[in-house]
Amino acid sequence: MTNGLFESFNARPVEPELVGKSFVYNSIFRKLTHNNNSIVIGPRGSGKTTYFKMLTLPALLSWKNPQRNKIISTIDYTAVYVPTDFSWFPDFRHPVGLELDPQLDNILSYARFRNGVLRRIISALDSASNTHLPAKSVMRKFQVDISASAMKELAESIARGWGIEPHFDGLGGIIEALNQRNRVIQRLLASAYYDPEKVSAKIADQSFLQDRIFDDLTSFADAFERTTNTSRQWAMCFDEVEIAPNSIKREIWASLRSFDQRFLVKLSASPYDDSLWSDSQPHQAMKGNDYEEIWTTLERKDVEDFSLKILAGICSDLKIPPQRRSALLGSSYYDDDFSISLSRINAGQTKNDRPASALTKNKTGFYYEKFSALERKDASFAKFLQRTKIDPDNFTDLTGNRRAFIRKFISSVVIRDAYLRERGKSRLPQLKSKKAIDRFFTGQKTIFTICEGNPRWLLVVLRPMLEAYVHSNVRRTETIPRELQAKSLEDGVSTLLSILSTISPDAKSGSKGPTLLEIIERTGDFFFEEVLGDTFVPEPILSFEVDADIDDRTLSYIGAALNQGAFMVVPNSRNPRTTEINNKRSLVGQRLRLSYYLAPRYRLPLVLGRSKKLSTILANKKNSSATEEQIMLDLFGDFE
Amino acid sequence: MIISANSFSLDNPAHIASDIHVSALGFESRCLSLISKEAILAHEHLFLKFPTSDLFSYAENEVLANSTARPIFIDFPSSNFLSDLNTYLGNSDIKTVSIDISSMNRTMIAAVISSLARTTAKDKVTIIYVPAKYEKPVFDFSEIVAAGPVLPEFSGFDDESDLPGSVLMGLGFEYGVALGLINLIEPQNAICMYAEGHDTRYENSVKKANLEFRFPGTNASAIAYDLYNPALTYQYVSSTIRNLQPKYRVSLIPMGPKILSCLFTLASIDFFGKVTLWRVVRNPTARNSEEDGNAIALEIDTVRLASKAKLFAGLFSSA
Repeated sequence: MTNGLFESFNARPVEPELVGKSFVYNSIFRKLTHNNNSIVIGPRGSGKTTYFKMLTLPALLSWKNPQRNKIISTIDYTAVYVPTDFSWFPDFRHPVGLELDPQLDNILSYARFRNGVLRRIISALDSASNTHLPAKSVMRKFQVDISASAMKELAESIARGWGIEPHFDGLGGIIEALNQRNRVIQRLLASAYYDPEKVSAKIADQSFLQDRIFDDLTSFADAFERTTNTSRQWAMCFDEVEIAPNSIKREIWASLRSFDQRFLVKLSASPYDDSLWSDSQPHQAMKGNDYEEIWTTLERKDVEDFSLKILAGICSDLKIPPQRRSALLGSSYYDDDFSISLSRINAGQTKNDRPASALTKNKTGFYYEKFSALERKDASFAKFLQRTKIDPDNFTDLTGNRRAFIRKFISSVVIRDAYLRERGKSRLPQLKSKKAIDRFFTGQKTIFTICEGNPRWLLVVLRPMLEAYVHSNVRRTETIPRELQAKSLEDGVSTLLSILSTISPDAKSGSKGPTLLEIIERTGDFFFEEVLGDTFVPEPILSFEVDADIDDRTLSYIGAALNQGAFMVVPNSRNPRTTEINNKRSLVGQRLRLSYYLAPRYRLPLVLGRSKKLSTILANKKNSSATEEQIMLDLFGDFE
Repeated sequence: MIISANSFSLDNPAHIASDIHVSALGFESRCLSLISKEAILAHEHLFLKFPTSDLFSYAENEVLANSTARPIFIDFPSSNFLSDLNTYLGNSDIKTVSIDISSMNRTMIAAVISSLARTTAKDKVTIIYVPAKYEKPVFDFSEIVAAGPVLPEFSGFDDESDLPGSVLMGLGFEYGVALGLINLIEPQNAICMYAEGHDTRYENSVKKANLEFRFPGTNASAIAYDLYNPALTYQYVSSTIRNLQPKYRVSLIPMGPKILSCLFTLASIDFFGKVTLWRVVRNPTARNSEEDGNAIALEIDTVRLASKAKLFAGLFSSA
């Protein structure tokens, strides 16, 4: 029914067995396996669902990795994966424009959620009892090894605890009864809009509609212990909690404070969720004490390794032989040694360049080439070299400190050199449209850095590119044409911006002000001016601080952009990434940057840069000229 | 659900007779073009009245509506909109109904068809659609303000909530909206339907606004339907739902031409409770739509429609 991870852009529909088969291991998953409560935080597409599905028995069983046994041996719990159903999300469940009594709504939506969780518990139990593992298997500890009669007894005991009356024996009977309940709840929800009094009366008659999920879990664990005479720890893994109704969300978060020692709670969430703020404070679980916080953002050093494995997975799917993979994307300007020649890339030469040049190679090295070229065409850069006493003709005898100083602004020099025309002529010859992405941003290291280790972005960019390559006439010994790489990046950026253009702010946060895409565009344009403006800026502003002058509407948009991965939180010692970004005002003071995924659109170097107040950036007259129409025309082109 | 479909020119219109003719009263100039071209011969006129506006043709349309035989007006939106609709359409003296969906919004289309399915059986129901003349799209962002079932009875209350989601979606020339919705709902797969056979400029606009139908990062595919062959399109919609249903929870998201909204609503009645019919609310710039000179008429299978009445009754008695 479902394809593997490298074919599906979203792990949600992929069966756990297939997730296990194509899973790419990294340090984030390692942290998630710990025997503690945890919250996995990350934007859309950053792999949260994959990590959660990987904790399940079928996924662990099908996983092939040298570290598998070592990791599994440390897991002391049986995971219950609970996907959040989009139909729980209040905005999707309510008929548009119709109001439902909030109390009625809360009871019925909670009942749906509860029913969904119970089904998942039975599913996990079923999986653990129907999987037969050799005695020596490291996974043997997960198996529920009881007789058919004991299972029947267990099912009866669970059903009693949950107040259900199955029509037949075993776990199947419970599932059937829960399905039946679910239909009753859904029908009550639909009817409640037309006849709330009648539905209220009905609810009063149905005691199961009043029950709480965490009581059910306790009763389940009791039944399990009684019947099997064994104690077991369970991990409730709530995926995508941000789309659950608020009352449920708060209850799940509160459960991180531990409600029963036989249960761990793991949940995944978006970086920003305004709805958690209002009344979760007094009982809020504490990071460190109650749970471990895990961000899906990979450390920069891990991005390349993870991306290579994703690339290998796609290649394997497309039958591209392993020996071909390392050369597929070719060198890039972003390689540490900056070894590739600009002229060769722009001339369309795609074979790997030999890594040779270095800072120490006088007059033949990459640094010399870039510095000299920019010095010729950019008076401001020439002045900067004079002022800082940097002589490109004399790079051979630099001290370590001096080299470190030069390395700080090499990316600005390279990008400025690539995009500035000879002095006296207009700037930016290649920028016919922002949409058109230049070859400058191609090559393996650059593409990996742009995708920031986000699996969905890697798939969006790499898969279509590799498919086109496989089906093209390009000789298989060659690197994928730079035009094809650039086009794939272009499609990825357009897709993200299209999605962002449909996001609306919180209804409560006012209706006047720039849209999300305009905020991003103004920010990107400001950074663009920093990098490619009239004056060379050695360390340009490429990030911003959300300051107190930002209005609620803009804050709401920024939160949405964080959740989509368009903005990224910049961690530092003063202001670490934190789950405290759960309301508009807690965004204030955070340092954010544009995702590198958007860097090609604004011709930005893939570095952090300095920071400026967002209110100053948005108020800047110079870059506020992009209208909705211009942005749309740029993204989609004109129509006639 | 559809007995027959045909198209005709408004310059030489078919004369559609009915006990009651239902149409929207709004600002689009095509709003009452069937009445102004004398294509409708009705004893009564039921107007679903948008809030009074000074935009485009609202004033002229209002004058024309007031000049028709026995005009009745129901305000939209209003708290009694659905109950008034049921009252008028449920009248057992009314045997034949004609409905002009051209300027209705998607809630109106769903409400009218739902009302006909749940009330007294009719002898004949004809649905008419007047396509709009092509106008270049407005260059603005299409922020999705709200999305959800169009009415409670179309909320897929009998579906299997454990199944993955699948979406059948109409495409319009609203920039990025289809992709935005897919991103929002994250279905396992999406089939995006775009209209052909009307105006190639419109077709090109739809293609451009939807990233040339590539939808990177999604499991979505695009398929064309013939705007002037709604019976065939209905067959496709119906058989697609039937094929998807064992494995998926199906959601229908009507965007693009209103005729597809109508077909999706009919399919939601046919698969009552098993599919969700969505409505997507945006804040688009108000724009006029002029008639392009043609109309498409569908005759509905009233026996089949009436057979669904007991399902409605079942839903509401279950409360």
